[in-house]
Amino acid sequence: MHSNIMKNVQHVTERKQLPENPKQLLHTIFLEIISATDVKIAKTIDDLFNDLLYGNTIFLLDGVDMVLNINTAGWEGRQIEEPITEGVIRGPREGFVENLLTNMMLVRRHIRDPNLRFDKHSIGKRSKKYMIVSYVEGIVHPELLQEIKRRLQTIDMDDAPDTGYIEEWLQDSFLSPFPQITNTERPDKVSSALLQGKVAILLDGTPFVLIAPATFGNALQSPEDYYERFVIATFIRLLRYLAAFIAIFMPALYIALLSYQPGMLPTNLTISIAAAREGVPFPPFVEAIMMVITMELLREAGARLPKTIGQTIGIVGGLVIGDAAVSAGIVSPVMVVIIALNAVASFAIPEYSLGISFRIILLGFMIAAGLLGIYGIILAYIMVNIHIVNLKSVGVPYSAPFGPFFKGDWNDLVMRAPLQTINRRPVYMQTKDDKSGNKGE
Amino acid sequence: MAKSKTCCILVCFVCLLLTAGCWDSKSIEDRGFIVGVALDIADAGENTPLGSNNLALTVQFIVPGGYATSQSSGGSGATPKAYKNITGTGDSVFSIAHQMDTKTSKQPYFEHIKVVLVSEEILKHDELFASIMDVFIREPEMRRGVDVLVTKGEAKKYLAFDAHEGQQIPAIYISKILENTLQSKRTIHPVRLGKMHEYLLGSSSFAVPVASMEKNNIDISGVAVFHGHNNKFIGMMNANETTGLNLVTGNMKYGGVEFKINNRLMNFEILDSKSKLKVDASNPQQVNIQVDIKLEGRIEEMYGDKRLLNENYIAAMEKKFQVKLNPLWRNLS
Repeated sequence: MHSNIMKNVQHVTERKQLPENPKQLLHTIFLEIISATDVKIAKTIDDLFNDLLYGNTIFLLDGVDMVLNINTAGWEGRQIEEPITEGVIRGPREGFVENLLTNMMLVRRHIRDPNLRFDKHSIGKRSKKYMIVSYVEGIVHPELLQEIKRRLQTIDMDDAPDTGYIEEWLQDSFLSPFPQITNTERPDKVSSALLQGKVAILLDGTPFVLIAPATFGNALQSPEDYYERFVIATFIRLLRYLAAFIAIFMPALYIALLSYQPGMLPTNLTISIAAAREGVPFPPFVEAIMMVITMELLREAGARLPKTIGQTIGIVGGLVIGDAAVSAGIVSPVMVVIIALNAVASFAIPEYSLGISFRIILLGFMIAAGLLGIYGIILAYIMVNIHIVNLKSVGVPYSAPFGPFFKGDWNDLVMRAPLQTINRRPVYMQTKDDKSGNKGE
Repeated sequence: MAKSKTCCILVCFVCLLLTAGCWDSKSIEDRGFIVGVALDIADAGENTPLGSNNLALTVQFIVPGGYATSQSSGGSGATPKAYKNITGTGDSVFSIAHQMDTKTSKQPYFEHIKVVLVSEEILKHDELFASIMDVFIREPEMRRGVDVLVTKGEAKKYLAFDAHEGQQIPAIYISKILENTLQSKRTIHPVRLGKMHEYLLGSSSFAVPVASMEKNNIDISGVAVFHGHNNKFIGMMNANETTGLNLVTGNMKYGGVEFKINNRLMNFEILDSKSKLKVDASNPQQVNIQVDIKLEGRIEEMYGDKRLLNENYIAAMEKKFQVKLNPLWRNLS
């Protein structure tokens, strides 16, 4: 502000002839003297409120009933750095920051298509934060966009510090443990979602961008899959599905097999586990619940502590506590192994929100296994399955390429087919422009 | 009004689940895993309850603590045994098995049974063998994959046999031998309980492997033969006769045949065998059976240093000897 406005205006008085009429004087200043890029003429105070609070400068001249609204917003912000929650081994290391304009710039850099739209909305009665709904016109299904805009109109709150608030307003089912709207810190994830026909929501003041709609297959995908070759990517995807299975079922299977169906284990394994459990005071169910709760506590504690201590607490704490518990004879060593495996597997899920929801489901499965054994696990699984199949994310079925079976989408679901063969946008999005790339032209 | 009613029903349902669930739950260390069962005729001296059968059932429990320590400590000092045998007597297998409930601290669990040993004394009584097998087939906890063996002598001793091979539990040791018999010509394939079920219901004769105890190991060779129609024990065949049986049924995929040529030993290893039976029953008084056996193999061991060109036909002759040892065991009718 100083260099563009104050200095110029001060210099003016020493220079040439200025028109006498204040109105013309203002115009001259507007046109010639102030060297800022975004200058508007405003007439009423209402126009000015938001902008003044946003950091603009208002230039008033005595005797004129118009004012200049100069965009001089420029405050301290975080540098663009690697996203903390979603690091990849290979791929761009840029993450969103809190400044909305910077985020828009990051997305625009990936998609330089003139069809990329950024629609500005204002959220929050008292905070009046800027929120951008971004989509690629010509790809996105118009009804999807309409529905999202309609839902955004219903938001009625004072302030939205993070997109999590908006996610809760937008989502279809608030009781479901599954997140129906993806959130991410990576611009490349947002840009590829936009090209698939999805809608992104950016909010000023938070680096987390929402992508709606989301499906279950999306939750187990990571942008890294596309940066490596397809054999590796397919293998890692399969590993992720295995990790999801372990993260949900392992402790429940342990409880069910030990308490109800030891006939299903091979004899040698049964003997080893029975030997390991001699003298343990708690039944498997109580043991498992205790260890799971301990693991969750350790994780939460690790997240709150500063970086370096947090990591050590996680590893050392887990090992030491587990070892001490085994030596004291409170839990059996097999339980510690299973819980450690379970924790590691749940970290392999690329999306943090889904990892947490898996742990909630895990508790449900453990209770079902403790009550009815393997039969209980099957019953609980059927319930979860019914729930997922009924879940919709802004109108798109949550289990989309699995549930309503879209054959064309399976090349990018569990395996990642070579990029040359992925030349259609996802069928379940029903995009207006089907083909990506120059196929068929 | 309707909402609170559904809430009520839901709460009742959840309570039901919580109170009625886990009635079946038994912690794994409270179960006694039974790996082997031996059936004998009880001695006259033991208490004989009413009824003419007098069975002694010995079950072998695994002691998991003993298993773990004997593996790790390697037999220093007084190591606890990894197994425990408990014997009961009574009339029917089921009643004896339930006597075990009060004789041990762990709840007996039969799903890990590996082998069932039946002593030859039981075979001497008509129909006893088939009746004993019945409970093993019916009980849902017993699996169809359990191997059945006939033992020479008292079956109980086999469950206490220490073969010094590193395997602490005799029942598992015996079942591991049975895995090897798949490749043997001196006995037939191990008979699983499922197959036994088929045999007992069917009308063709069948054979069960026989185990005999030697000084340092248990030998499984020879078979016990049962009549098809009434499941009666006919007799035992020794190792040679069983080889003949294998030849006739075309099961002789492994093993070799020794023979002498020019006073030198030669061993022919059989890789594949096929057999064809032709039955001529036009005259019921005298039934003609013609058996065609085709063997494929290679010379495995040769004494002396003769060349092998024109001795193959002699090998064929020698095999006929083998078949001669094979008595007519299949009763056709």
